Order: sequence, then structure tokens, then C-alpha cells
Amino acid sequence: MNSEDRVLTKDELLDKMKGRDAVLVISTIIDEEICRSVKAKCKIFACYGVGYNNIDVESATKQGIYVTNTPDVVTDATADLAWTLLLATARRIVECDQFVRAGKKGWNPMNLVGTQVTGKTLGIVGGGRIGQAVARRAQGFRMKVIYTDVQKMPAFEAATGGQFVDKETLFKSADFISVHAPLLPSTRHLIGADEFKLMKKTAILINDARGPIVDEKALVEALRKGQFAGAGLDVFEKEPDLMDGLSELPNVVLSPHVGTSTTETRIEMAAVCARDIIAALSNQIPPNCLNPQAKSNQGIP
Amino acid sequence: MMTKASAYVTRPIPVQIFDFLEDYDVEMNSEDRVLTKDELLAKIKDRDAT
Repeated sequence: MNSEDRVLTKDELLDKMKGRDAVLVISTIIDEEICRSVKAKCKIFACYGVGYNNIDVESATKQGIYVTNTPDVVTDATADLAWTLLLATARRIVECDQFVRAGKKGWNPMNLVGTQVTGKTLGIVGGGRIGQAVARRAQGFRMKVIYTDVQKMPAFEAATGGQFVDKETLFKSADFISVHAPLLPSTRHLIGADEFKLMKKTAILINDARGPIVDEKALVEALRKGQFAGAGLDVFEKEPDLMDGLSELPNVVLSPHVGTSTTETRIEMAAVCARDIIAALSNQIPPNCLNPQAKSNQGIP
Repeated sequence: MMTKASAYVTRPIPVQIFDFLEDYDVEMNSEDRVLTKDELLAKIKDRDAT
């Protein structure tokens, strides 16, 4: 295990991966060159997380290397964090914390007034596992749930009672909008200036999915103009860097991509990766394999 | 002509209170502080509600 708390350079990575049968990948870019260089021995890139946009899956497949991720185990922790951000933004918890720590005394009825959550409308962008988990939690807040995706999702509706709407309707109607789409070419900047113009002035945007889904420059501009009320963000377009001006806005709550950061989830993610590695090294297709077709390319020089 | 009943609000709260008590003569302390006892006595003297 790399014991240094940093992403290795490409040369370091190539050196370390040489002769390995399996690689457990954490936030490391695995490109075509790396896939070609390790193909002789490596059977699997086990991705420690649900997102795998850092891995060139097509190249791995060509080289007969399985790529896996950890989809199910991250659902609850990520959904919990979306709610953490939603409540923290709505109730201005970071400002409240700073206020108390600073020893300020103006504890009057109009100080740090936030937005009520209970009974409002929650809009979910992306009705997959995490979107469903977030929507299920909304029942405790007696919220109306609407969602949008590329198509109607009966499983989402059965699990949450949510109603399918188009993207425009969702952005116009929701009081809280929580993003749970994967990062794909079609979802890059899925949410930008056009969507922000549709939002209620009182609405709050939450994103703990992938940063580039939201046009961060447009987000800063919209928040500066007061087009909507605030945002809770765990992911950023060019993380760990932030768009200029974002950290100066008082109406945003920011966290450093900690969606899955609970002890229980981190351990379970490691267990899932281990099971996938053991399967691949036992000549089986791993349980969470994203490219089972890689098997047919194994052993090809 | 009957005069309106009078109410005083001791600290700022949402201004909607003026709508809710539109039939009354309402004054609100707009300063972000608790009034001293003397100030309070002066403000609520002869009020119908505080």
C-alpha cells in the first residue's frame, strides 16, 4: 500500500504496478499507457469507490483487465451526506457554528434564520440507488418527492412515492435539488446557467455526486446574483481546487469529497475490493465487474 | 372615533407581524438588543399588549 497521502506520479505508478497481479485504485488516473504496461500480469483494477471516470475502462478491457467498483456499499453513507449538506445549508449550520465559537451575543429571533425543510418539495436528479436512498429519507420530513432521469423509473417510484418530471419542471418546482447522476459525457454540465435561472429564489442545490455535473463557474455567478438561496457541495469541478469566489460565498456549505467517509463504509469498500481481487485472481469474473468482456481478451499477447 | 388598541414587540421578529395584527397599532423595537428595564417600562406604558 502506498503509505504517502498523495497521488503517485505516472512514473512512480508505473514502477509500483510493474509485476502486480491486481491493483486497488483510489483516485488515481489509469490511462491507456498504464493498461498496456501492466497487461502481462495484472488481472484487475479494483476501484475503491462507485465512480470510475478516472479509469480508461475501454483500454483495460482491450488488455483483458477487469475493472470493478463498489456500488452498493456506498449508497447509505452518500445519501446521509446529501442530507447532512441539505440540512446544514438550509439551517446555516456552518455560520451558526462560527457565530457561537466567536462568542457573539446577538441571540435574537431573527439571527441566522434559515429555511424550513419539513413539508417542502425535494427534487432528485438521477433516480439510481443513491437518488432513491436520498428520496426515501425525505419521507421522514413529510416532503413531496419529484425526480428526473433519462426515463421514468418504476423502481424509484415504488421505493419513494416520487413522481417523474422533466428537468425543467424539477428545477422550477423543487425547494431542494439533490444531484445523484453519474458523470458521463451526457451529464457534464447537466446543470448550469439555464437551470439556475429556473430555480426558485429560495431553493437550495446539493451535489455529492460528481463535480463536473454542475457548471461551477455558472454556480458562483448565480449565487452571487441571488438566483437561488444556497448550495451544499461535496464535489467540485476541478477538485481539490475550487472555482474562484466559491469559498467566499456565505451561503454555501463545502465538504472535501467525503460522501463515503464513514468508518463502516470505508471498511466495507475495502472488503468488496478484496472479494473482487480474490475472484479475479481465481480466474473468475469479479462480482462487481464493469467489463466482463475483458475475459475474452485475457492471454492475448 | 375609537382608537386602535396598541401593542409593543420587544425585539425584532418577522415583519409579517404587522399584517397579522393589522387592526392594531403595533410598534416593534428594531434594535438588535434587549431593552433595559427602564426602556421597557417606558415603551409598554399604556400598551394593551406586549
